[in-house]
Amino acid sequence: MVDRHPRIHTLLRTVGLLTVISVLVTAYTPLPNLFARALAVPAQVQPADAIVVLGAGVHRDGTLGEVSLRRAVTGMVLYHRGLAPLIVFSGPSYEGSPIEAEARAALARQLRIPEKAILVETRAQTTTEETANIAAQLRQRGAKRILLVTGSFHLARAAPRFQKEGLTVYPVAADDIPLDTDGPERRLELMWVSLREALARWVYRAGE
Amino acid sequence: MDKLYVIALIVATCVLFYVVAQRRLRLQRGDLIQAVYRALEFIGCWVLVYIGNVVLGILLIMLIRRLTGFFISLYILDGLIMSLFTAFQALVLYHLWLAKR
Repeated sequence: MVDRHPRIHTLLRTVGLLTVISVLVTAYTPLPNLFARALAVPAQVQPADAIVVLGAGVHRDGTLGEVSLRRAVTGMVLYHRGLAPLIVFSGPSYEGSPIEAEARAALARQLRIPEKAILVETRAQTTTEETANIAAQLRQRGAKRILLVTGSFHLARAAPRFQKEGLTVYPVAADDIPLDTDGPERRLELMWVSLREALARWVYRAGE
Repeated sequence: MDKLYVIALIVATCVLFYVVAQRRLRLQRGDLIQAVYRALEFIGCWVLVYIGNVVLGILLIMLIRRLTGFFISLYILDGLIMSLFTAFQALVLYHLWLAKR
């Protein structure tokens, strides 16, 4: 059979081979850990005026998503450690689901956080909107320093936005994949999330 | 050691299949090389189609957000459904291309 498209063959084979090599290198070397650490923002836990827990998703039955729950619990632990007198839960409704911030606030009340210490932001769909709405609420209460709780990667996008709003930000990472994970599948997952974050940052910069 | 177990298992079953295929189906080494090439070509096709879908998906979402104000999260492009459907799409495209060669 005469090959009429040798260049396409070569291109597809090369991309395929590079993909296989990349998967093996990612799964069996510390490359994803190094890449993830380069993107992540280190934690800086210290007393502040408020704890801000950014949204991450809620299921239709009102169950908090895994990432959302992890962030919420991290924020509540900070509150119970006495690091801030106020906790802000963010998160809207997603396609007919209950409001994430309300579900988190309900959980916080069950875990003995007083009503007066809880604020919710229920409308924002993007980090930019979350930042503007939460900063406005915090300004009304005179809060200037915040413990910002979200994923390590997301902190790099979210923290500068809160700083632009005039707030001092102490980042607190709540990660579902440890940055030093060493299992092949978890490393692949970590690399995937890191690449997604790198792309998200590029899209954010392009959109600004 | 347990991290390499799966790799060792796959290598072992590959060797087994190769030996069986050689003896029972009279396949030759050239057939194996051709099969590996085809597999790599399909993976390459999948990756390129995936990148194309993601780029187009991002552009369309940005356009929809800008023109209608309707919010669609970029994260919907990152999921198992996207990977599976793209794999199927790439499989069809690849075989279509092979058939037309």
